[in-house]
Amino acid sequence: MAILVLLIVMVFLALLLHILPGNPVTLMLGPRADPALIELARQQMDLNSSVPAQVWHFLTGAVRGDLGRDFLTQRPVSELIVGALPNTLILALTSLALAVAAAIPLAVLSAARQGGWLDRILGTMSVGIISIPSYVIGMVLLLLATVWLGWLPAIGTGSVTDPLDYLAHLVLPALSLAMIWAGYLARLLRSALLEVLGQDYIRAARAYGLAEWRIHYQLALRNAIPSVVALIGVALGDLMGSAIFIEVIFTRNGLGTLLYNATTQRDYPTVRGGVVLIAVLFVLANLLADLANRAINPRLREVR
Amino acid sequence: MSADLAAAPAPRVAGPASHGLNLMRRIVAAPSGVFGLVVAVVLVVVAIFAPVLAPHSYTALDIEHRLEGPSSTYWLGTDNLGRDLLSRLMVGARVALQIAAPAVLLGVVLGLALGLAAGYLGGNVDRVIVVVLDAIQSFPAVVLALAVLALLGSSTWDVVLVLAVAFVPSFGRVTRTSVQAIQALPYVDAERNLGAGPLRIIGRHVLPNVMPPLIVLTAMNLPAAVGIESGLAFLGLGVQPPTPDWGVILSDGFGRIRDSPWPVLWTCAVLALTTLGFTFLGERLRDVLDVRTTEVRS
Repeated sequence: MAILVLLIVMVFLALLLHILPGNPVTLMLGPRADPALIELARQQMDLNSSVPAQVWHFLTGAVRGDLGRDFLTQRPVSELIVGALPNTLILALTSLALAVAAAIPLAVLSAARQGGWLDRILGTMSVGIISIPSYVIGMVLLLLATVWLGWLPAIGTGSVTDPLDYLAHLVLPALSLAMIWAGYLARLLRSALLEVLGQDYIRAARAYGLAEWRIHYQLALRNAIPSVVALIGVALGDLMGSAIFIEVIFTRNGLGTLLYNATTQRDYPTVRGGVVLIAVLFVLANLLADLANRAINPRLREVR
Repeated sequence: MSADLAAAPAPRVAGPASHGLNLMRRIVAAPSGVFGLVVAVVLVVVAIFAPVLAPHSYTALDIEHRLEGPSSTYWLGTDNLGRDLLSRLMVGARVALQIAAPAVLLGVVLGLALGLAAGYLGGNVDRVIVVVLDAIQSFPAVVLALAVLALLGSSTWDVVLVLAVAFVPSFGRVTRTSVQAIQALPYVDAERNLGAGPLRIIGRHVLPNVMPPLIVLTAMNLPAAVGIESGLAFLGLGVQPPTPDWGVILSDGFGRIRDSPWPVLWTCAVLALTTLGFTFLGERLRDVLDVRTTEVRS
């Protein structure tokens, strides 16, 4: 099923050049480009083959890891992506980890006192924050940190060889992305916890005199987490999308900045490669979440 | 017999008008509903009457007073060319709604059609539609928009179309699920056995039941559309600079963020208020209409 979806995405991206009106080559090179240059671009973008052949070439190429050439730099798209991907993955995974780390105590505390002040604040905030665009949150954090507090070297990627420097540059972008999902994950985990806490074995544990924190963090959490794990795949995909804005705002190298630059230069091969990769990552993340869910929750294994 | 009935006091039938009034009353019963409704109404009024309400022309330059903070002349301050931020943000509300509203409406119509077809016809039609919806949802809306806008010019219509396509899966999925659930109900089955055709089943039973979740989802997707549209404009795609789109104002302000935080600050505030307002309204609508949505935003 996942593979079928990916196949459709790739065929769609290969056909997109023909579905949409307008000529991609004139768009990229301008209306008065040199005919020889136009011919070169057409050849590199494989526009001289028949349409089914183009789709076939793109598909077989993509499977071999060949996504065509970036027209401006003449470097293979796959090479550009491999260079940019680690930064984005680190950003997305760090923010996801931060979001989960914040969500667990928030959820447990608000489930422990249902209707308490923390519970009510969380209820309102979690719905609110996830609806606010990621770039607004990133922008506000940037303003707060650099302009008013004069804090942290906020712009750039930082050097890869100096881990501390790299970390310092990672803090703000990761925090902006993490804030969006922390509240939402906490909210979901809270309702799962409440459901679990109402069950008999929890009452039995209380009757045995187990400490309240052990009941919450050990017994209940273990059974509440699977319902949230499925969502982490979606969260990761969403983070990859939001990362584009965050990377542009904090001028961080990554898949987002690569896509953004290629889009403004109308360099379609690179745009297409980047989009294919994000789709692959998204499908993969969902698949992993599904597998993780089955590993945690044996009941799911038997059902299907 | 008929005379008796006529003599009896007319029963209070809830007509469409009083139904709407009742709905309003229940929305504002919670603070979040009041907030959401106020934001939505203010935004729509400002969008419609922006040219009349704006204190200055949104293009008038005042180079001597550029990048200033709030003052009595310029209530929210000025941008990098000395243009009044308040006026620009007000006209920006109009731009935002002009793109987001048609995009979401188009998404509803397409999603409803696909969802009905998939849920009602079932079989292979259903399978094909579900795979297509999955494929659209397999990348974030922003990324889809990037891919398409890289190939298109940057007209307003292009943005509307891209957003509509990005929103089709959420509407389509909800419609499909409700159609399947409703069709399985015994009374619908009974009516079909009485000889009711598909048009009657869809018109009388399916559509009225699909509407509440679609209304809620519309309120939830509207802020998402505004957010993506402004985000694209911020990246330089979609709406282009002379038009005071919120994304354009944000991008202008971002370039001069060290000289004056005001343009970025106000635009962020407006964007946050708008998205929060519509989302709370959607949440409230969901409670009032008693809809269970399991949809996660795409």
